[in-house]
Amino acid sequence: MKQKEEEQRKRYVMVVELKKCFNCKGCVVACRAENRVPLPVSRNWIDESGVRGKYPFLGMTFEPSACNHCEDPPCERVCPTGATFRSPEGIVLVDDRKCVGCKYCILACPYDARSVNHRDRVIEKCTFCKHRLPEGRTPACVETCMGHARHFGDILDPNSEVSRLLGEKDRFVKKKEAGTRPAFYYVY
Amino acid sequence: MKGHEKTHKTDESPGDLGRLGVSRRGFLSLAAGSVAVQAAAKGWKLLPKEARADLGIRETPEDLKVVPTVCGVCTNKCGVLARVENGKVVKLDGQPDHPKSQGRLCARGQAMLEVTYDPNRLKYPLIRSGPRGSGQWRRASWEEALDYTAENLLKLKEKYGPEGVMFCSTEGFQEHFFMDLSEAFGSPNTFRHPTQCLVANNVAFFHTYGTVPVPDVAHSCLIIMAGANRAEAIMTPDTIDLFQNLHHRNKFIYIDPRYTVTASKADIWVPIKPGTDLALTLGMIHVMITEEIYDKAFVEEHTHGFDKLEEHIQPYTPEWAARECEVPAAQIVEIARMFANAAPKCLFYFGRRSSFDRNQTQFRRAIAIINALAGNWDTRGGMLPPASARLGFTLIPPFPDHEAHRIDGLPESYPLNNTKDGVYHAGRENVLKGEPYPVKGWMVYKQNPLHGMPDRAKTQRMIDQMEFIAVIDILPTDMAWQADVILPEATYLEREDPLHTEKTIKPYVSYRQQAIEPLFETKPNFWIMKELAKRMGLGQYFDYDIKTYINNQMKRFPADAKKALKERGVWVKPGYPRYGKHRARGKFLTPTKKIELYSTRFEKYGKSPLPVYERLPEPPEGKYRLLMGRNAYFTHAALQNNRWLLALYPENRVWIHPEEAARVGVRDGDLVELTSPVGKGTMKAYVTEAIRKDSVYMDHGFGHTSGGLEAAYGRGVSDQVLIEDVSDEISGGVCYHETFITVRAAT
Amino acid sequence: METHDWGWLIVIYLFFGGLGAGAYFVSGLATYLGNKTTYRSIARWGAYLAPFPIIIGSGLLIFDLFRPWNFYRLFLTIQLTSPMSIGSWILMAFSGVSLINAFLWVPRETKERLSSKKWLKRWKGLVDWSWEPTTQERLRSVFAALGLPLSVGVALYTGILLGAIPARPFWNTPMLAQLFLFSGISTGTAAVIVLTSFTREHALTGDQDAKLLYTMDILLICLEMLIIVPFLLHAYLATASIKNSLHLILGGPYTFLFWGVVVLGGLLIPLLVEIYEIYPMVFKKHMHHSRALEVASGILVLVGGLTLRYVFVFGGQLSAFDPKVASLGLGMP
Repeated sequence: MKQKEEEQRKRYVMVVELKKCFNCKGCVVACRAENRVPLPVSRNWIDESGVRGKYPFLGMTFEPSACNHCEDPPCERVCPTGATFRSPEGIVLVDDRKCVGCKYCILACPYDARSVNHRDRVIEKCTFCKHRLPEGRTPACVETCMGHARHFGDILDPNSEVSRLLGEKDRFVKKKEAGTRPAFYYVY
Repeated sequence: MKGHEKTHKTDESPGDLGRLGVSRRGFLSLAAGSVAVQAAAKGWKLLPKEARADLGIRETPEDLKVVPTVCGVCTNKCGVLARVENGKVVKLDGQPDHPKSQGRLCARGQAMLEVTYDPNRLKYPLIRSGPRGSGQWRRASWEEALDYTAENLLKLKEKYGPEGVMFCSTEGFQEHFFMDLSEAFGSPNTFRHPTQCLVANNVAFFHTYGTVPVPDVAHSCLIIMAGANRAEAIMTPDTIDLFQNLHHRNKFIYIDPRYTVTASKADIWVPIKPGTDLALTLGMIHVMITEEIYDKAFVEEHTHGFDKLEEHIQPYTPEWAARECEVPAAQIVEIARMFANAAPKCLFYFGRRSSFDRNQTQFRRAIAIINALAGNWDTRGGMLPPASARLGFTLIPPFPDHEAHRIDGLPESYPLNNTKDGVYHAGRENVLKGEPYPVKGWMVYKQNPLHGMPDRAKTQRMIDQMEFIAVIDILPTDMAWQADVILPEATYLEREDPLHTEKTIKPYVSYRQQAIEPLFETKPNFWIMKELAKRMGLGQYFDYDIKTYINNQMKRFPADAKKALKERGVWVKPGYPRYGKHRARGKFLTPTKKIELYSTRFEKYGKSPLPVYERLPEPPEGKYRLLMGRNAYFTHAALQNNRWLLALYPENRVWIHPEEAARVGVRDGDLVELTSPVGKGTMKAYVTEAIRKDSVYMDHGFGHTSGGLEAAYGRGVSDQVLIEDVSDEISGGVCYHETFITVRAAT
Repeated sequence: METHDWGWLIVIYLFFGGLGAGAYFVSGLATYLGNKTTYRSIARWGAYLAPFPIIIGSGLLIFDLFRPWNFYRLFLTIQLTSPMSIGSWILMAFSGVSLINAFLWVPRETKERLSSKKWLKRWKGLVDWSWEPTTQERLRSVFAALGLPLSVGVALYTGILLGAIPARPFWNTPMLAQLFLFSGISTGTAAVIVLTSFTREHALTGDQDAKLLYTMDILLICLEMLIIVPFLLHAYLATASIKNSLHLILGGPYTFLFWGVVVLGGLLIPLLVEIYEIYPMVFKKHMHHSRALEVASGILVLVGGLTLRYVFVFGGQLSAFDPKVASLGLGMP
């Protein structure tokens, strides 16, 4: 059991290179297809800065976003039945058998990453495509990213791509004020 | 299944009290017990690890099939792995071995899943039961629909000759069967999409280099793109190679009047005045020649006409260009020097669509010339001779000769063009006039002329003149809505298609295999063509089946190629990219056997052999130049019914500068009425700094009028309703950006 | 967020929570301060009122769940970090205790009618014992004592439920729990004022009961207003996100509702009416006795309380940490 624990100890993170994301939204549709997410909800989206400045001195950025799989998740904290929990690998998940559907977690999320899937009557949120990981496949959004902007891996593994990126570059997270220690990083 | 431990449908959370053996004497005692345990456990994470059960993995069904196929959503045709469960396609993933998108799929590629299961999809043949365009249809069996079609075609053939029927199609893996039918039928009047898109590029490069080269974006160090909005007009692998290498391998200069997504990624964005790209390029050529920073050795050895070019370029100074383009002369000089400095690992990328304005063909010639001056031919990071694989063929009887001349007057009217593609607007013009002969039949495969041709009202008049229209498509498009009979084709996931090869830096062969059985009564185009041919006495031209055809294509392939095609859906010819082989040989497929900076063929046919710039008229007071283009979520007019994509982008809006919006009296999101000399439309305004004051912009492909497209119907406006029928006289390509419109607040 | 995840059902539930808790609080206080003759009416009617808003509110809550068949799971565990979990338990305790308490206040005549009922036969022993006069008085005191902390717990929890969510900055100020507490007890008091203005007993004991109720309500209203001032101040001086969220009631969509309906209509006007009603008693004269005014001011308080919860539940869901797009906050190109 101890060894299994050791093996299981991972911290999965997502790293996005902002320069490379050009808003093709392939990740949004791939996620919908992979996880059978019904319209109108979505597990992920792109936060767009919009056009900044005055012609012709303009700027624009795109920030792919989803559940941040926080290290200290407020959703887990407020769930009255313990249905929301954080796995040993750092993925925040929902146990549908325990969820009563109170929506407290949706309100508690600073990133607005959770929503109600009324078709299946479950909480809809990113799971880092957990079902693909044992097959050695990355989440659908990462796999399909045309700009090669998305990177996924275990930050506790010093040889992983994400460790390299986070080591080399300055990084930031969204809404740091919230203090939840998210696992979704952006580098420039 | 290997590697999967448990198969739960949901995930188990910690703290399942049953395991802790709490007795069930009543809620209160339970609560009391759990308070103690949970308090200890939750706060200090002391919960036994056993309670944190192994996390659930979605059940993998027994019959999961992964079928290698090729995406059919746009011209890129990227490799796809279709995951099929229980006879239903559940996910499309990229095929990592495929050189196009290298395992990735864009939003449209992923959304193709929805097209196959689109509730508005054509299910069975339809025959019109009311007036044309009224949307009244009756279901027909294939027998009846095919008989009906063949009968009408033969009637027209009898009355007007085979030339009385136009055969219009767009590229796809089964297109050439349609072309074969048109040949067998004997009609010379085939029309494809190049004159609405890439013809200017093709003509310019073909007559400069003898071929249309392929840019080596992945290895280039300095890339200039004029108008090729690769972030939103995705071309693989160029889009991927460009953005993947940004800021660590290449420097990227992007020229566009509009601040597109690509502009936001570029190192330098040149906000050029619309229609003046040729002037800018001429200015750059001037710098390269006068400062002698071009590749002298290469020019000496491989090009023809440099002296004439040198003389010709004299008046086109950077200062002159600066005045035309509204770009500082210093910047033009700087860019030219950067380009020359990076040579030969530089690219003036020529893109694909070249249908902008009257200067377009000469502009593409200038691009061809400037690349030649940099000597980037057949070098790493430059422009490469296209390589493709050779496919075997299936023998069929020779086609009959065309007795009649083409309705658009090709090849004489546009001698520099590829004849079979036709010049659409010229054809339309003559069809409307009825000269030199009447054309009364229209066979359409995988095309939507109402959305592609400028001056939609004119296209509608052409439709109204027809005696018979048959459309083969997968959705009830606006064009299909105007037909007399609609024949439903199966989508790409439901067909096995012939092998396909494309000219790229790495020649490859794609093999589209069938993932699922055709839904409803849809059929592959090959079957439709074969059945029609049989009924018209042309069966001998289709006397084979798809499998035989494919085997013939594969005949001379090595065994490992056949295996790769079957198992992976793609075979990449080894040894590529190759650099320098063609350059060493030095023979180009031009009359002078060299790169023709001075085009002898242009001269021969009375066109200016060196690029000459014509200034476009300014928009008159109170009017705006209408620009159009694409975004990454739709393929032209093909996907606006797709609900997944509409969720990303529900309608097109007209881009207008904030000061102009204030003048017109509209705020962001307000309705505006747009009027041009040929049409009008009402849509929402997008007030943005990303567009110039003298221009407005809208995305192409919206404004569908087909009642069959329930999701797309009525969204936005079709740019083709507004755009006038203007084309350039060299290549016949449409000039989509030469129309001026008024913008008013809609009451 | 543009769509609201919590809507009217939650607003009414929070309102009923405060109301029921307040009613029990007033009843408990009346029992504690009074005896066999004083404040009886208040104690009784508060006791009767208390359980039902809570039970109805909880029912509404179950309706609001999108997986209601699992609701029993709330009672298989207690998540100490979740106000909702603790609140569920408190509510359950409150429901049970307040129901028993209501039962204890049933008058003699009704008791005699009920004792013949079949469903009470099983519990006859327990019922007879509890209705025995001395036992009954003692039980009433015990349950009054139990009720005070429980009702404070319920009323406070309705505020903590929202206040514990940093992701909704409009809620995340320290004052919210107290505001809901005082508002809850005030709405309970107002409800009892309205109820007792129609009962016979009130006519007999009139002034005394009214004095207690009005004094309580005036105190509570003043406390509420005093809470609102630091709430605004603290929020204004807090982090950017919280400060920006204040805009909802300072110029934003909920401005009129908050200042016009909650503060003016729900606090100030009832305060003035109640002071007017009761001030003669300062000079040892009879209070102004207008049933119309009593009921009117009571209803105003109730409407104010409901609107307060509406403003917070709906408005709060529009607030969020700024900025949503990180690159806008960092001044990136």
